[in-house]
Amino acid sequence: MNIVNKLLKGFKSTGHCLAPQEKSSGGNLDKIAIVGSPNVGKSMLFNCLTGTYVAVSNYPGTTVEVSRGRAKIGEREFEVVDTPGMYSFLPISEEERVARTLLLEEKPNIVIHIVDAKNLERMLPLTLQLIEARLPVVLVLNIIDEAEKIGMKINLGHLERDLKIPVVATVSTTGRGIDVLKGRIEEYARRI
Amino acid sequence: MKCSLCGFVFKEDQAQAACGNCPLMKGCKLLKCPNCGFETPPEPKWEKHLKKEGEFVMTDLNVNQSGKICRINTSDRKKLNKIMAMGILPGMTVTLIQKFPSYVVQIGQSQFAIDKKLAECILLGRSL
Amino acid sequence: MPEEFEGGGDILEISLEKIESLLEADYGISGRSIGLLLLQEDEEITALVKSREPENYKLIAEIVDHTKEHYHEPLSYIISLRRQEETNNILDRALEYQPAIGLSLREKLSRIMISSLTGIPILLVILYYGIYKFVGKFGAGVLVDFIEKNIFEKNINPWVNQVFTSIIPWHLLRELFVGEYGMITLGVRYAVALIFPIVTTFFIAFAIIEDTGYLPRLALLIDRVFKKIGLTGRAVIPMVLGLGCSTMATMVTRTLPTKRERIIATILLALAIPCSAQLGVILSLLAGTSIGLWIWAGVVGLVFLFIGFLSSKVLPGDSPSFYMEIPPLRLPKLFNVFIKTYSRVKWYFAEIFPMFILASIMIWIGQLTGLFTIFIRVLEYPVRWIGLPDKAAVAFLFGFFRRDYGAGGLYDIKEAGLFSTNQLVVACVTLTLFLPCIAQFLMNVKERGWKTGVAISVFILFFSFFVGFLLNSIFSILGVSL
Repeated sequence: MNIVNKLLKGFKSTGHCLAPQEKSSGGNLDKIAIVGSPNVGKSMLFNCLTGTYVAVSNYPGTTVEVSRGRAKIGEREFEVVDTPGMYSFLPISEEERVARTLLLEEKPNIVIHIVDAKNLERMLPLTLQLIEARLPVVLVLNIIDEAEKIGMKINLGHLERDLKIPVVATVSTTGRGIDVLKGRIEEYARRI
Repeated sequence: MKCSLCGFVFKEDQAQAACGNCPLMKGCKLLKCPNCGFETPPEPKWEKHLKKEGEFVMTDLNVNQSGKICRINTSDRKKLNKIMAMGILPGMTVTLIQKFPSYVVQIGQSQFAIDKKLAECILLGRSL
Repeated sequence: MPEEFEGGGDILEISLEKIESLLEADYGISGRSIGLLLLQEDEEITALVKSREPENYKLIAEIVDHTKEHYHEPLSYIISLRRQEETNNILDRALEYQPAIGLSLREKLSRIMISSLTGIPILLVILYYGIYKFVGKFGAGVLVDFIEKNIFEKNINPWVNQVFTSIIPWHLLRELFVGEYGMITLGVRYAVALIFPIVTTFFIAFAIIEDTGYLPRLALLIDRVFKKIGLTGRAVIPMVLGLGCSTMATMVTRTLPTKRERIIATILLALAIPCSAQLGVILSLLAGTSIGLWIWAGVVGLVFLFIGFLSSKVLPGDSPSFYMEIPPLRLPKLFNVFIKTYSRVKWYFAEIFPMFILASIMIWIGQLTGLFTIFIRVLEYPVRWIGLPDKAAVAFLFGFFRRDYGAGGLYDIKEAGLFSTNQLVVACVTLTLFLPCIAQFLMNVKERGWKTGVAISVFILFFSFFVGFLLNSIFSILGVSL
């Protein structure tokens, strides 16, 4: 029985519990958490920032693991956490609960809320909830090319004024806007 | 209301009668089904506003028709949260893309597949 | 609805402010957020506040109840509405959009994929080219042959045999490595020549299908059918993954919302979903008879539906609701496909491969101790009952350790001409339904617990032979000779 139990433990646990060891980072690094609903390019953004490649899933429920990595933005190094999909601060699924717990317990220095630009109407409520929670939010309107293709015009300046947070438009799969995002992150990190 | 165990439909006063001489009657808010004895909490007040004038269920829409959502009709909190998480809220315009084999709706720039149980909770008002 | 807003608006805000002022502990987010979650009766946050500040909590709970009474609708509903209103106000200023008239090409394609009339044929086409041709013919056929013949038979096998004969003088120990069931000659060879090409081609096909956004569309097509077997369309991911590796798929059943669904999915994966390794070999086994192939597919499919249906009746609970976002169809990005396939194949080899080495060791021990022979003797009975030659018993015993070993064992018997086509089909059906391989069995235990894991295996052991028996009897009764 013992041998079998050892074998069972050997199966890599892709569980969604945040084991205590995982939380502690390399000391003094600022932490960036990436939040958003599934299918908006969260993992791709994680790749763009950290330069490491994680399995990118296009399907809700498949990215259960919490990916962590390091990003060098400008002169600073950051720890980056890619959270499971989150639709609202009131969680329905286990994954959403994990995402929220992560935000509560790990106190990230920057929270990037990444949304599908053409679905801004449905996704902005979560941005509002994050801002309401006094989390340091940066809004990223990803897949902006699809929004442009259907004729949507989003005025980033107006959004920034109303929300009082940085707003950046990107296409994570081509890298468009990522440099601007990195610049805004650096700026934001200096301020807070 | 309808007993969730046996399906019997009864009124609140019939439920009182079914409780008989139970000593806990004073503080007890539960309603007892006169048919099978199953006890449930009373229906929340707001569900009694069933189908006001001009409201219809989403399942009554035809394919490619749209409607403006006026209410989400369910007392099941889990269902409610699921529907709201999809961004299906009163005020939104929803277009029915397909009915069979699953309901497919378009809200804004997104499409969702939902089953009949969820679709029946979405009440629309006369619109487009 | 307007009445609720006018009169009630203040009560919600006032309650919220009151709660905020009562909260003393630090929760990592603003008091207002916590207050809103408390008003919406979030279980986790409520428990958190209760434990951190029990005296304040009592007051807060009263405020929440009082606020609830004031409104007809649930507070979460009202709060969501208000937030949406705020969103709309902001977007009125920042967003300009005139929806285009008519459907884009992408949308038209999506529509034909999800309509029941055209969706099913499209699914069949995808199955045919994706699974049958790509994984079956190319992966299991061309690639396997190439690696097996050119690399192993020509170079590695003889070399390995030489090396081991010179290093290890004891015959018995040598058998562990290079014997008939040796770790290297069979274990490693099978892993690299057989499993690797098949599993890799499967994962490539899966990643491509996944990235196009087809899976949610498949889910909505089959939701109705899946509801009859106690699942919902969401179960389509683990089921399709199961065609690649059922062990990995059983792990993915975690994403199913209810326990009941997870159990039913685990049972079906263990029973009726052949993994790619097995699938590949079975497709080549039945390559000669297309009617045999159809019968095999038909019987396994029927078992899948029937047992699913039975399980849904036996296990308590209802089918949860089905809802799923349908993302726009997108062209898969090659790089993404590569990364996903690479990490999945890597996982597969890291997790499953050691199991196979273990399997070789267990077989070796089994042979040594004579246990092996005992098990084979025992298995020969049911094997005979279903009309198969005695030799097939070895294939079944192997089937427990590795599905492909089992199927491979049948291959040898076929090559030796010892199977009639009838028997071949019966053997394939029974083996497909037979016990989950050792890796999957352990995963079942890990995910669902010992009792359920063992119960599933025991059930399958008897049921698979029962179906074999039934099929064989039907063949005899109808006088069918394929």
